Amino acid sequence: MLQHLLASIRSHEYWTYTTWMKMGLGYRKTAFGPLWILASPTVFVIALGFLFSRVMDIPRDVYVPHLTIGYITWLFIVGVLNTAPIIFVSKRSELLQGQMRLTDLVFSEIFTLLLLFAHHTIVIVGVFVLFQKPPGPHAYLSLVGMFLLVLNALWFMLVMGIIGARFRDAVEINQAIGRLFFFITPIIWVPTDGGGGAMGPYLRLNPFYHYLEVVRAPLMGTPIFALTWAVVIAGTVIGFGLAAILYRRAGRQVPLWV
Amino acid sequence: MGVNPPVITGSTLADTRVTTPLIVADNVSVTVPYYQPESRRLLTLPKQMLSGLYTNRTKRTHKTILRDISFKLDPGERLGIIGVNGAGKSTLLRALGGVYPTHGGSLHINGDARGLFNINLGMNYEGTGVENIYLRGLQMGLSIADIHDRVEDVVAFSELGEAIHQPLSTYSAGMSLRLAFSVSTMIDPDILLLDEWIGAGDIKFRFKAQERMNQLVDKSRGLVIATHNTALMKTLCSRALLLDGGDLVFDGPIDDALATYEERVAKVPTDTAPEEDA
Repeated sequence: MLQHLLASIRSHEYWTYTTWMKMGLGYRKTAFGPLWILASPTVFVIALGFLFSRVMDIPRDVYVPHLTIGYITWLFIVGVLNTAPIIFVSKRSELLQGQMRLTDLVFSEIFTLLLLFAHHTIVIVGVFVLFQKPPGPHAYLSLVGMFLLVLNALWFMLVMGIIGARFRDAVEINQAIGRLFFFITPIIWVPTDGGGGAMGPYLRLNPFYHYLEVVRAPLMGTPIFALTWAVVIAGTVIGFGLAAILYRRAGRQVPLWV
Repeated sequence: MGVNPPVITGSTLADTRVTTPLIVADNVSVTVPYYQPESRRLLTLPKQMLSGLYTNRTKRTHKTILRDISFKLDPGERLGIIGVNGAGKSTLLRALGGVYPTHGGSLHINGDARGLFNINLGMNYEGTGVENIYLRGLQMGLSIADIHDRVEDVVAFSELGEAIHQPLSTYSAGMSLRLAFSVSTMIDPDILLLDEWIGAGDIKFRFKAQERMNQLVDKSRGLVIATHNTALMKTLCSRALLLDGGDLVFDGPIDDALATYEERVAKVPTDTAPEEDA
């Protein structure tokens, strides 16, 4: 797996350029082009931000940034969750051509999601400007958090892509998980008591919470629990271990399964 | 299940190039899994649609597409693969190209084996001809610089003229075929693997394509081609393998192989008739 990962990094021209091009081609017939990527989250954040800050009685300049960063990071997470099981299945023809490594296809998919995320960050910047709220002093840690998130997306896509090629049920399971965790992860609600909020201690059992916090907390200027770093780092290490085993055992079979 | 990755060794010395065989397949089998519904009439009778949807189970079975294939390809050799539809020709090419894992036996590929398997692969119908040349080139493992160097040749060869700057959705079938052929022959691998779509296009382009194929074959160190176009095969190949239901039944000079093939096909008139042309 490691060799393939390194080889994929070297052939970065493939996954950057083709992804970029496909995105451009996808919007060619639209009037506003990639601006559409911004439209949906902007509307979501404005509508929900104003409504729920009243419902939950939280000051807008706290709630809206919380919602925006949370929601946009969540879009990346749920993108990984939903595309991972179908990544190899949907790229069947590329796989059967023989020149594409599995890692190439994963890199290209993650790059697509990162391009979307990069567009979405404009909404985050917009919110910070609007509320004249400077990001926390350790905001740069958010980049570290995002880097960890991308690393985790990498192993998750490899693992889930291989499992999803063999067992098509994975798509349904991941979609269900994505929908459920959107609500039980503090995205549209805030754990106000400094602990787990309505979820109480159970919040800590939610892995998505930890992955979200490493990106959001530094920008919000709230502290990150040591547990959160531990979960994310352990998840990265264990995940790559799992991916390496699976890639070795089953990676070659994937073209037969798709 | 024992899965053997093909052993790929890159030869560097000029003298080893002449002597070591390019491909050594020793008792190679390819088995693919597939899902079989337990009822044969599943989802074909309207009355059973509803019940069939929920109650019918599928079982996962394996089908051996290639069984104990052994052969060698020496440098400079041009090998044809013949057989009726479903005999395992494309599967063999894919196994040689490293796409499908092989079961049992061993497969040694000495060099870089690449193929043209699927004509429309990776073409984007919103994109223009030129954009598709880049897209496809990158997918074939070329760098942007490589493609820059070759793009003019590709455009010239395709004879698409101004249409090259129009989206693919405006192309006729023949035009996209010409583009696909021109793009696909940008690569020059050690061992060229070709599947049967090659002999297509209008007559004029067919001649050109054949010439281009000959050039490609001359540049490559070995060729494996699967086609129903016997005329093309006779001009390109010196030797052929005859596959039947996954078994290798003949390995020898092209004329003998074709004769054996015709004999076998004539014997089983109920079988799928071979197409004269791909």
